[in-house]
Amino acid sequence: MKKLRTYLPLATLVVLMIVGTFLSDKFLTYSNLMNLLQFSAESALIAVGMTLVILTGGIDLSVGSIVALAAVVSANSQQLGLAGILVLVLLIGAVIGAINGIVLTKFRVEPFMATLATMAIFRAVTLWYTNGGPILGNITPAFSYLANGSVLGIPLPAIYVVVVFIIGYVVLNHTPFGRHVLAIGGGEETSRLFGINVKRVKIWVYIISGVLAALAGMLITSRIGMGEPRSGYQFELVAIAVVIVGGTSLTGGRGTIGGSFIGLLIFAVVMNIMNLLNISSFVQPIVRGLIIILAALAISRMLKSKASAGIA
Amino acid sequence: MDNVILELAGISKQFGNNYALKDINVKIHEGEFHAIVGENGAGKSTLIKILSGVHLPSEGTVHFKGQTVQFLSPYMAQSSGVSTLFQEIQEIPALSVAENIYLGREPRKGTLLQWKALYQEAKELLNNLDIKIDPYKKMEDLSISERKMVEIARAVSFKAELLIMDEPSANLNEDELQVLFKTIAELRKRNVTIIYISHRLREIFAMADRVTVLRDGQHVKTLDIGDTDETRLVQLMIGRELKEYYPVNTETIGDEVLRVQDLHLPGVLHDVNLSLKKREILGIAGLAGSGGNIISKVLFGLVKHYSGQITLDGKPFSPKNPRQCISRGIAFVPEDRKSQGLFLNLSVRANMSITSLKKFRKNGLVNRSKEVKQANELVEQLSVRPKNIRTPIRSLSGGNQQKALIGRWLLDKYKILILEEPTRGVDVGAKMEIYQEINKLLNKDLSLIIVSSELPELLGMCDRILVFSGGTITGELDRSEATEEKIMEYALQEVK
Repeated sequence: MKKLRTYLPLATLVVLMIVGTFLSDKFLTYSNLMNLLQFSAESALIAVGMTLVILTGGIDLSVGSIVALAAVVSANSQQLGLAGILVLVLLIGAVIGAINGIVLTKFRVEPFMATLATMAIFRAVTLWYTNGGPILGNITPAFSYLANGSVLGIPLPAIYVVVVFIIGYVVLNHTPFGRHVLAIGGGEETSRLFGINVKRVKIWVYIISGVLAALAGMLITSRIGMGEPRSGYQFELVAIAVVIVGGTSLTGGRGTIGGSFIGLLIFAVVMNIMNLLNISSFVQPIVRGLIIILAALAISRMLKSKASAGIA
Repeated sequence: MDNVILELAGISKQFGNNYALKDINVKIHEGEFHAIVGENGAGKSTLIKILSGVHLPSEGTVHFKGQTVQFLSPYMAQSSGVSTLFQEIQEIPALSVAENIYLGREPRKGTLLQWKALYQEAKELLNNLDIKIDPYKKMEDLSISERKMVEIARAVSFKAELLIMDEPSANLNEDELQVLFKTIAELRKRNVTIIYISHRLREIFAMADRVTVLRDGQHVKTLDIGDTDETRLVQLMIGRELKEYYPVNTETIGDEVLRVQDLHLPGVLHDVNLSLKKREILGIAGLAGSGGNIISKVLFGLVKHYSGQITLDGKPFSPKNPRQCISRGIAFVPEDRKSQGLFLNLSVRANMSITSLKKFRKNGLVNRSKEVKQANELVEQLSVRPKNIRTPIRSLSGGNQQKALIGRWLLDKYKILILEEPTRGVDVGAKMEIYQEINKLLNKDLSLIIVSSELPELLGMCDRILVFSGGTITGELDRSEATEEKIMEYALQEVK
């Protein structure tokens, strides 16, 4: 029964791939699949951070606003060079993440409320900083290469997707930190009793989420060649959806990075198929909503049958 | 043996104006098995929380191995050699046994976790203790006793010199108990000092060297186990003769009010037959999972998909939901006061009138003055303290909350009042008052069903006791013949 949480998303993905293959002969081609992976890079970064956050039993709504701030700041600081931009972007993510983490641990504000606040604040900061318009500047070729380059015919963003998930997997499964993330989600009080520094782990989780979101923002600017203050809208919703569809429990303590990877691919494949079929992009969020409902339904069914098995 | 490992010197603990513990002085000897007994509310759990680093004492000092110590956290206590098995198992269900044992202290190389070493250490530890549990298994896949064993292994891995066990035998069946006792024996071989809290006096007489009795937060006595017997120990615990403690039902028992025939609930209950008479107090006993606490929920419409006939006052009755059951005259005080019974943020008045608001209706609005008047009368009658009906109910003590909850059902006429665990988490004084109040209800022509895990309460209060095991009734005992031993015998009876 428990395996269902793992295998149901995987089975769904396989079915979707088969459906895609039948609906369009372009679907199962190397270039399309690379395309699909490449355009998932930003979601992938955010989803890995969000997985860790949700595993602790929290939520991070501020990621979309961090994306936007990092996007415009990296467009506006091209003169610093690649390394300089990178440091700046990492700093933005880490600081906002740390604010989230500190507010919700030291002041015991609900994660939802704390990150809702930073989401509003940093979206506004971004719009204020840019006066609402995009930052068009001379994006350097080196910076542009980050999102548009390729190695051995593989687009760099596709590589980022794989790398970030591998790192996420190692962190969650092969470091004490990752196991403590799971432990905290499974029982915060117990974790404290067991001597885990719950506050510190949580703050780090939000810092990681913030940093990954900031990197995603930098990637967007590199890809579209300007700093768009409206980028990252609803990214938090997409990331949460990816994590949940991947089988992670919204109450924390249960879930895997691999699941989120599959969740990400499920959404990417569905969107890709709709693009191939020329379905309006306005319809896509509707489909996304439907997928979330289906996933939630499947999970609640699973929990129900598990609960009744427990009584017997 | 005579080396003092732990000394409590003048320990007191205050919560607000109430003393949970007052001037406790006990010396625990190295390697001994020291039992602590007392009624609920006697201060046992507060004492444990002080020893384990959950609470700091308000006054007094703790000396461990000759040094004055202040445990600021359970982890600190554990690292110093004092481990505690709390009543509720401390675990992360989704993680493996090995991870649960070494959580926070995993073997690591740089930032990486050494999985192999982790499982190796866990395996050796469990082997050493002769505990047969696979360290790769997840905690949630283990039985309760296995999970307790893992907790013990965790304590041992901290090189515990003093192990405090709070009701470790609760919820364990006979086989599981044997496993627990075997492990305890193994610990004693290693000269681990044990402080053991249990309601089951038989265990204490079988294993303990000495016993400390607490009552109302005070230290009554510490005795060598050989110098006392069960009856005398119980007397020390409650401080009075049993007879005074429980009022006797002097009402004449009337005709049948309720009859349940062939009740089945797939996987939970089967072949349940019972009847309840007017002005009778019927007790329901049974270990966790026996189904005893489910029958009460069936009768209040909280459980669906059952089959069988129920008749109430001679008319067929099929409970569907609480609203319908209330209108048929069934009242219910649930086992979990905080989450199922109370509206914590509302006043005492609102908590009492909530089920009877219809009674106070006037022109479509609630007649506040009538509601206030009746609530005041109830508070007076049940001696709920403080006597102010505007107090938020969350600030009342457990006993007073429970009285208000019972009061809720006195605003209207009911036929049957079901009480689940009526005195859970209630101090001794309030307990007696609750028993008195319950008894007074009988002259209102009510019939009572008491579901309780506290045997003395059932024995003291009930005219008749039904014992559940494996989802059905395995025994029925009349007041005159009921004893703890007989109840336990039925409760442990195997049912296919």
